[in-house]
Amino acid sequence: MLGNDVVDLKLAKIQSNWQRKNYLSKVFLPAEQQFIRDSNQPDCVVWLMWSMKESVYKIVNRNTGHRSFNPLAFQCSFNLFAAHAIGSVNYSGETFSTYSDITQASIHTLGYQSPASFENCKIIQTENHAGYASNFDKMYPALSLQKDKSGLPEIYMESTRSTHIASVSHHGRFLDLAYLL
Amino acid sequence: MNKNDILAGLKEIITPYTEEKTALEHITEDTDFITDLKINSANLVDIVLDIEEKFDIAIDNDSMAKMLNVKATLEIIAQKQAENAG
Repeated sequence: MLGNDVVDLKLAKIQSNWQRKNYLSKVFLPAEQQFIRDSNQPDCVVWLMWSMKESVYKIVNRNTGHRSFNPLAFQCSFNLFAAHAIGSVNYSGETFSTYSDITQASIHTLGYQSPASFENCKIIQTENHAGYASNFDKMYPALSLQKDKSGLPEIYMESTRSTHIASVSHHGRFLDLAYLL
Repeated sequence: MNKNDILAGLKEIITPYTEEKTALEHITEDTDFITDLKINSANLVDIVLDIEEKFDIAIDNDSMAKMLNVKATLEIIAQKQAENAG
């Protein structure tokens, strides 16, 4: 299984003030708060861990069908490089892997659960606007973005006539689609 | 505080975090913060903090986990206020 999450950093700056009193303690565990305090780019670390938690929440939600808002149940660890981060998220005793792309404009995290691997997940980033599904189909004629019986996104691949589990995330200027090959 | 007062207070809190003004206008117990009001999940944290301040209650993590819709949120506010009063 896979899940993804994108944060438009420009919009996040306007929408959210994580420096607000008590904000961090509702979202991040003490060790995660320490990562933020120790970093010389705290904004980046906040939204990196946020997108890691969200991407893995999407996996758990899809596996269980259960919705909740419990960011403290997802425990992040990561290695941060110049333009990406490789991490893992522990949820309820299970460890999920994450890969994050980091630019000045956005942070995108792909979370995946064995037997899915980074190599068999594909990510497409496009512009976010209303009617993105039909626009996507125009841009990628070999692929069709549709919904399964439960309303969850999937990709239909024309060449192989196969359907593939997909995860869609949009925030601000960005729309990111990830699917399992 | 009765349920209608709590709902009115909650509506006031939610207003700056949603663009879905029609759904907000017609808010009921069945309104979902994410699917109906399209509230960004990062702003759910703000809503929880605003509720704590406005209603002078502390919301624990297990309660926050359920606060995805109006019904669960009203129940948690009422329950925490009752605990404070007791």
